[in-house]
Amino acid sequence: MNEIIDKNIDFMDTKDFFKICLRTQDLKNPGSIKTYQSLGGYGQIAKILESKIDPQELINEIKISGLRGRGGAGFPTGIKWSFMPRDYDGTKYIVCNSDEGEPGTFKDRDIIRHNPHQLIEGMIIAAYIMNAQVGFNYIHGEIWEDYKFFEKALDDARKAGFLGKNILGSGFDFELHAVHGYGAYICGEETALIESIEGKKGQPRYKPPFPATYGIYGQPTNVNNTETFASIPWIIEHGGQAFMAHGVENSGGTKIFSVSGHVEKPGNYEIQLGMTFKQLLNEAGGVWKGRKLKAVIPGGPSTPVLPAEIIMDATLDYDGLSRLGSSVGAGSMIIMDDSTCMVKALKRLSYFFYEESCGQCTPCREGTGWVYRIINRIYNGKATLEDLQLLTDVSKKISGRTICALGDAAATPVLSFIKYFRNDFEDFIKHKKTVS
Amino acid sequence: MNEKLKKLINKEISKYPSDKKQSAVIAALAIMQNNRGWLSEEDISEVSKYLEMPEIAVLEVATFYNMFDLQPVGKYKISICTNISCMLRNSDEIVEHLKNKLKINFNEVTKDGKFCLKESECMGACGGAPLLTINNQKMYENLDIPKIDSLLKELK
Amino acid sequence: MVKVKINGKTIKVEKKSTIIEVADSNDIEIPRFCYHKKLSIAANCRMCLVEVKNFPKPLPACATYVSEGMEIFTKSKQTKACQQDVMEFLLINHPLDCPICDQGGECDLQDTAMSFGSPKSRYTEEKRVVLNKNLGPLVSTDLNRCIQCSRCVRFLQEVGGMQELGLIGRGEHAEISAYVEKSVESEISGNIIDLCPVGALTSKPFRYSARTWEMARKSTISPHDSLGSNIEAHVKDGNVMRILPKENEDINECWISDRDRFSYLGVNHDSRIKKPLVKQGNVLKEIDWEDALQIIESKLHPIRNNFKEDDIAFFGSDQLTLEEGFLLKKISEHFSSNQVNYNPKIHVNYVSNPHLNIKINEIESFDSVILIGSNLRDENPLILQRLRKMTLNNKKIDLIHYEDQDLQLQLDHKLIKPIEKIEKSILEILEIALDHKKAKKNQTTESGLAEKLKTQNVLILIGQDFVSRESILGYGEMLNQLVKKSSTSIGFLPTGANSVGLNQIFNDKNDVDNKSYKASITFNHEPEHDSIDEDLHKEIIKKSSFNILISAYQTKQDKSYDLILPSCSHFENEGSFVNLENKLQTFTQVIPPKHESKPLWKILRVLGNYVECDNFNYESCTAVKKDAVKGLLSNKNNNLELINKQSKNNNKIFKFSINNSDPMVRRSKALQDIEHLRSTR
Ligand SMILES: Cc1cc2nc3c(=O)[nH]c(=O)nc-3n(C[C@H](O)[C@H](O)[C@H](O)COP(=O)(O)O)c2cc1C
Ligand code: SF4
Ligand code: FES
Repeated sequence: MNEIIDKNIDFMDTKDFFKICLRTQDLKNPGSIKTYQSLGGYGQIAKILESKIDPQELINEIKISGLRGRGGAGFPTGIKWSFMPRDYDGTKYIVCNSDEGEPGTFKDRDIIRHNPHQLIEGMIIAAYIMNAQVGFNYIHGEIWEDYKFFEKALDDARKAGFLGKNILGSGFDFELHAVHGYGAYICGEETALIESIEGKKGQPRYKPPFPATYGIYGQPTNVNNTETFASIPWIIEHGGQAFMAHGVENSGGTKIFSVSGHVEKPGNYEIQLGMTFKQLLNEAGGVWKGRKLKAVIPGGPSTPVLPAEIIMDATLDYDGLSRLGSSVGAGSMIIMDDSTCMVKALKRLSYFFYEESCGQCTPCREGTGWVYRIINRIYNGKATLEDLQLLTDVSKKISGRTICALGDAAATPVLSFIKYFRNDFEDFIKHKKTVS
Repeated sequence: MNEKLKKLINKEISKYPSDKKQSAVIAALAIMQNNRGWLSEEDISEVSKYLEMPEIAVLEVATFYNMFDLQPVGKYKISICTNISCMLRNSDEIVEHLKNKLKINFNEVTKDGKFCLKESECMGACGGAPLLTINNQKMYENLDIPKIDSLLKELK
Repeated sequence: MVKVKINGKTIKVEKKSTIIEVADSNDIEIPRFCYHKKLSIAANCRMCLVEVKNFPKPLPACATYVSEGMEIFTKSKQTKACQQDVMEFLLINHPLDCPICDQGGECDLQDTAMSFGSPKSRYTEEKRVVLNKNLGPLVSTDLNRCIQCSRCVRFLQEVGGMQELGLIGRGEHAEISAYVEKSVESEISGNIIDLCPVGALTSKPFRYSARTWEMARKSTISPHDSLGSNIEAHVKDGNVMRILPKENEDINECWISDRDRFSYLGVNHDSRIKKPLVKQGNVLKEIDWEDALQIIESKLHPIRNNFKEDDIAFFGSDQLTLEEGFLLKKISEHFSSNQVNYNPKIHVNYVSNPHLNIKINEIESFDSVILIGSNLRDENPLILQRLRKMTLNNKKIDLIHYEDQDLQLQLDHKLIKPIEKIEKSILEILEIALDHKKAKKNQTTESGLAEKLKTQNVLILIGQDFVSRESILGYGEMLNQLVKKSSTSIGFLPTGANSVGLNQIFNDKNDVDNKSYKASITFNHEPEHDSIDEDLHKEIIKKSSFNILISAYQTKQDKSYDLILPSCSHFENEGSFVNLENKLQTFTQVIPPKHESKPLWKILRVLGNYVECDNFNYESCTAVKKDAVKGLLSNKNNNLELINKQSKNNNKIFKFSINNSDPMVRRSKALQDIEHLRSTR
């Protein structure tokens, strides 16, 4: 065990920034089809269609790459794609999940506006592999201008013959549409997203059946995150091994971390998985206004917060963060300096989950409201120490008992904030404010 | 529903199989809302007829998604994110400033019917925190008080 | 079959079953709110979470399919903890005022809280407040009590065929609502009252009129359509307080129509006839029963009045019980009369004993149903519900009709043409299906339907509209050939509660002719609403010198009768109906007769005595039934037997409307209110 860790750390120190999904970012006209093509873009789908490469071969390559779903759960993409039924009479769908709405997440937006064609090519390759005829990219409603931009990118791709009927004369058909949400975080959950595409409220479905057997209109459907799809062309071009080499064991390739909050230079940073937290923080200009780091939520609020002492030693990869009791999630890193009031921060996060609960299942609907109200009570100086116990207890009763993972996500910040910052909460209860 | 709106909605419908018109409901409602500024009962009924779905099913959708407004919101709806990344970058100050300047609270419309202030959840653009959108479409990022002042001046 | 273990006990179960189904059929209790065996699975209440070995999280029993070797624990510590916790969550926003709730004493939430909940709540915040909605005259709301299980929404969408309710808003703020001030107007909407596991949706007419433990429960049969829904009347102080469905999987499943549920509101209508009435000059005067019977004896005794063959006309009703029909037939024979309009809504001149031919629960076993000329939503909403269920299971329904119908289900083919043309189309379909004729080159709906008849297992259902018409003689034989040649079945959809029973009793009787009679007797119906031949009735009454009405209610034409006798309403009566699948169902009295009304069978028996019918000393309704059932058909007969009674027939079609089907329904205020709302849309 120790050996592995040590080896990893050695290896990691050599990790640097390397761009795959955001590789067009610093070029002129980054989002244009020309720019993408100047990097060899759409060459991979052309090659695949030309030589009719066996989809199984491509799936194997993706399995070798170690690519894991970038939407939060980190499920190996190659395995997921092999769940889609090969022989199926009706329409099969693939869906790109660009509904990022978890606080602190804004990476997919940059892919859409800076490198949309790589995403499109990734989706075409995916469609070829899973033999899907129709695709949707479901884009967060609030980034309207980027949605419009992506529609235009689709038009360009269509005009260039990469989408539609008989792509590049290969006989392969694939149509891809952009659709948008209109303000519902829960639609990021893949089955809620499917309901939303069907024109309904975004209420998650109970699984099983999984989308691969019962997705859009009951047809087999595969949902992946934007970054997942956007990684595909590079993997096909350079091989799974090369992608793997940019990461560490179990965490192949690069990953975008969206760094926000108390840093000098908030923004998206595509790193090679396995890089140290310190290096990333450094790159982001360090803590805001030279203050001291207090806490970091490494992967978005559904991943446990870590106090500075712990995160400082972290390496940023799936195993690295899980060893510390947190997770990569969607790579939404929220930095909090020592001026942060943890009660207020948790109050805001709990309000978010309370507001965004779709409301269909009891523990989430009733529990998130209850949790928020207790924290609000703490914040307003009307709570007792027993309320901290109640808060933990209620959160635990939501967790693991809901239809979708929003219930778990809502419980996570509560449990981890109280675990690491209990003093802040006790202070608040005793003195009606944070003593810092 | 005029021809222009129909054309826009038809384009959305065309993204889906021909017997699945109702898939376009969110887009159709958004189009109607852009037209009026908000969704009236009439808009909802028209969408329901056009997409051949029960009115209540359209209402369910219109009340589920935050960006729909079933009440008038003035000429400019300012939706400002107060979620954690924005909060950490002092969105509170921006909110206070807006409230003071416009003399309204969240979900209120200024007397002249020009502005409405909405608190919004994460917009997926936290790198530019704090931020806001105007009428669901145009986003303004990295806000500070001078920027707000000039923005308000711009919005005629 | 797979083997599973529940609480340590091994059982063998069907592979495609859920944990809750297995538990239910083995009498193992798993609490639930959102699950209902007739609705789609929502798995949203989480009350049914159970511990399953090797699964890290508890699983919802309603949505989890069993698999080989699964070990389920419904009473373990983890399961109990889940139940307590969900209960605690559900109660934080639910009012705890059971004593003043209309559902108190029969509330799933209350019961479950008692058995599975924890004793005290730790929730100190304010409860959610939800404004009530006006859903129309039938269903009352108390939405603070709603636990968002979505049963009502799913019912109206899946069983009712039309989403009339929704959960609007989201999260904790989500609330049940119809579209802006709309009411719920499905013909079977009242079932959401039963489905609601709490007191959020209750019966508006019943509201606060009685507590559950104050009422006696009596089973009976609904008299409004040919299904014969099994119902339970809840009775207090001699009055029906409400009607609930009584589950019978083979007939009404667990549903009833709104008409079944709310017709009882007509029982005590002002127009109930209190005493016998006799016409004196131009006024009706109350008299005693004894005097009324004296009048009958003097005016009707066949010998004393020198009645000849067919001197008296009988106008029955499709709600007459088998016993009443039987006695009436004996009386008519005593008068040597061959003319009884026992079913005034229809001319049964061409098909002998039209009925379903199959069992109701066999309908769904067909691949496809072709519905010819029936307004099912009005005539038989629960049969329609079964067709809807078929479409949800990917089976196909087609409609052939002379006017467009919104059946609120997904139709495969729809063929709507004016009546004569549609009859030609039916001919053509059958000709192509039987290869008597080649299909036209370009695919038509007719050829599509014919193709279906050739290749699939089809049930053709023919509504009463087409049974009345002579044209059925033209294609009836072909229908029979089709049945012989293919796996097609034919069934009829009679409308009256006892249409099928009366058909059999009166099969050798003819329609009343347009001629002069010496006397007439009209039973329990209002010709202006209930007869295909209102004018004929009017004329005959005008021409004949002595007219009797035997009815529960005064009617508009009262003044044209010479003598009126008060009979009981359905709930005061006893007897039997034969439903559309030819099943005999007997019911007993639910409440004592109102005023001086008497059960019709008794009136007929005494009347028979006064006019000296033979063998008429029946002591009980059961004794009448014993004789009456002798003539009933028992076998099922797949062919349609064509007859031609040669009676004059104007080929009219009876306009059927659900809340105008019989006198009691017409007097139920709630039903008339909903009808009014529907018609003003
Ligand atoms: C409440 C909730 C919100 C989610 N939001 C997102 C999201 O915004 N974007 C995303 O890609 N995945 C999101 N997910 C995860 C998706 O359900 C799904 O796992 C993912 O899109 C699969 O893609 P991947 O395998 O490429 O990661 C969310 C899940 C939950 C439970
Ligand atoms: S956990 Fe919350 S968001 Fe997910 S289905 Fe249940 S109520 Fe909806
Ligand atoms: S009964 Fe299973 S979740 Fe409601």
